[in-house]
Amino acid sequence: MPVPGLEISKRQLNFYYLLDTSGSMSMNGRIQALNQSVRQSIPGMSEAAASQPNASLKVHAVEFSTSAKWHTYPGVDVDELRWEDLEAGGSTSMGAAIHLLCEDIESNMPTRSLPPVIVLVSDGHPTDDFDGALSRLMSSPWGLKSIRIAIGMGPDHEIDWNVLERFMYNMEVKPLHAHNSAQLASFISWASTVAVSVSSSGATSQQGTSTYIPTPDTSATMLDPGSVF
Amino acid sequence: MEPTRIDFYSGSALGNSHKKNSKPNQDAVGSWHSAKHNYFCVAISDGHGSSKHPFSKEGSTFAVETAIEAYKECISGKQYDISPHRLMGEILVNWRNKCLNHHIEKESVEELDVSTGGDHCDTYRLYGATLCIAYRSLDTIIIASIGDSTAHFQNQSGKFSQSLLSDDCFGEETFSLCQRKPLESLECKYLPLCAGLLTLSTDGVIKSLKSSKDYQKISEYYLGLMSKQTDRFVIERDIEEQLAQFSEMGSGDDCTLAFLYLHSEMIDEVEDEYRFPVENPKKKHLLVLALIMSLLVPLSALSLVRQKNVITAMLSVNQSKDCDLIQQKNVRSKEKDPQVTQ
Repeated sequence: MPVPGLEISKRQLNFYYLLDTSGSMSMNGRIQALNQSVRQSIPGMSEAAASQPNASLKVHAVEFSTSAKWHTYPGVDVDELRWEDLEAGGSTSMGAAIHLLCEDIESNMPTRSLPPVIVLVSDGHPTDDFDGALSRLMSSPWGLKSIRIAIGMGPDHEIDWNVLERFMYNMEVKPLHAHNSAQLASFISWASTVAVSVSSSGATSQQGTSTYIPTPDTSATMLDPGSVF
Repeated sequence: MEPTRIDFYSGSALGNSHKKNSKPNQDAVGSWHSAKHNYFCVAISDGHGSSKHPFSKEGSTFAVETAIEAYKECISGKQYDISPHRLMGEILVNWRNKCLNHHIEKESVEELDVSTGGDHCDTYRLYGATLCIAYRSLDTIIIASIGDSTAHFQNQSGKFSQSLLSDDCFGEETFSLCQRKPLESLECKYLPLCAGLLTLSTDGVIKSLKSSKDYQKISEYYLGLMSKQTDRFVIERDIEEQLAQFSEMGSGDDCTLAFLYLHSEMIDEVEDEYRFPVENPKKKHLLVLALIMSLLVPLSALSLVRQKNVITAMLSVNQSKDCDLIQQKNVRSKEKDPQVTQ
C-alpha cells in the first residue's frame, strides 16, 4: 500500500527556443524555413516526450529582433503546441532574449526539475549586450546546468560563431551549421529530441563535468536540400 | 532467546528510464551488525549511470562492500570510536583498489572501448558512485556521505523528526567517490544513539516527491509499521511496492530505501554500558587527566573543589542522550585524510 498522503510527481522539463527574427532572416526564405522546421519538429518532440514517461515536457519560445518577447509562454505541453508563424524585421537583440529566458528559469523552475534545454537559432551577430546576458545565464544555477544547442543558419561569414560557441560552453558538441532548409529542419528535429532525451535520461554525473550530447548524423546525402540560405 | 534490538529493512527498484534503456539497477545497499546486535552499519550507494561512468553498477556494489568491510574491521579490532574521516578514507582506498582490479580483469578478458589514458583517476571515473554510510561509534550514530543521498531520523514516539541530509542541488550532478578529492566533499551528521527510525535513500526517492518536505511521511509511515511489530515480509513487500511507484510515476531513476529501526531495549543497554565510568574510554581519559592534574597542582582545598566541579560537568555532558536534545554538528568538513592518496 502506498504511503498515505504522499504526492508522487514527474519531473518538469522546460524546453526553450530562442529564435532570431531579425531583418536578415527575411532573406532567401530563412524565416519560412525556420517556421516550417519548428512545425515539423513537433511530432518528433512529442514522441521523445512520450518515451520519457517520468518527465513533463513544457515548450516555450522567445523571438528576438529589435527587442525580445515571448512567442510561446507560459510553457505548453508539446502535444498542445500549435506553431504560429514568426515574421522577420529589425536588429538582433540576442542578449535581451537570454535575459528574458533567465527571468523564467530563475523564478519559475523548481529544484526538482530536469535540466532545461535551450535551442538557439540565429543567422547573424548580436546587436545588444550578449556578454552581459550570457554571464547572467551562466551564473544562474539552472543556466549553468542547462543543455544548450546553437544552430547557425546562412552563409558562414554572416554567422557569429564565437558567440554561438560561447553559448554552448561545456557542451560536448559544436554549434551546428545549416546551409539550407533541409539541414535546418534536420538539426532542429535532432536538437529537440536528443536534448530532451539527454536531459531526462535519469543519469547522474560527477560535479563539474561537461554534458555529453551525441553528435548528429550529418553525413546523409540530401536529395533535395530545399532553399539554400 | 536474545531480544531483537535493531532491525534493518531495505529495498531497491530499477528506474523506469533504465528499464527502457535496458540498463541494470545501479544502486546498492547493505548492512551489518555485530553478534550482540549492539554495533551496526548501513550503506547505500548510487552509481551515476551516465555514459561517462559505464561501470557505475560495479562502483556502487564495491562502495557498499568496502564500507561494510571497513566498519567490520574496526569493530573486530575493538575500535569503537570511529571517525567518519578515517573510516571514509579507508573505504576510499579499498574502493579504488577494487575498481583498479576490476578494470585490470576486464582488460585481460576483453578489449575495453573506454580508454583511461593511464591515469588512475580516469579509471575511478568509470566506476562513479555516491556513498552514504550510517554507523554506531560509541554512543553516537554517525552518518557520513559523499554525494546526494538523503537521510532522515524520527524518534520512537514520532514526536521528533529531523532531516539530516537532503540534497537540493540543481540538475543531475553530484559529488562522487570518483572525484579527485572526495573527502573534501564528505558531509557528516551526528546523532546521539536513541530509539527510533533512521531512513536513508538514494536521490531517486526524493526526486519522485512533489515536495521534499513529504519525505518525512515515508519515515512516519514505516515507523508506524515497525513499532506495531508488523511482519517483516509485509514490510519488505510494502517497501518494494512503494519503490516501484517512485520509479514508474516519479523520478524514473533507480530508487533505494534503507531503514534502521533501533529498539529501546538496545538504548537501555547502551546507557547501562555508559553508566560505569571505567568502561567508557572517554571517561577513562578524563579520570587519568584528573589524576595528572591533582599531581601537578598543589593540593589546596580550593583547587580540589574546582577540579571536581569541572570533571563532574564534563561527565554529565557526556551522559546527556535525551532524544529531545538531539543536536547536529559539523555540516561539512574540509578535513583531509592523510591515509588517502589523492
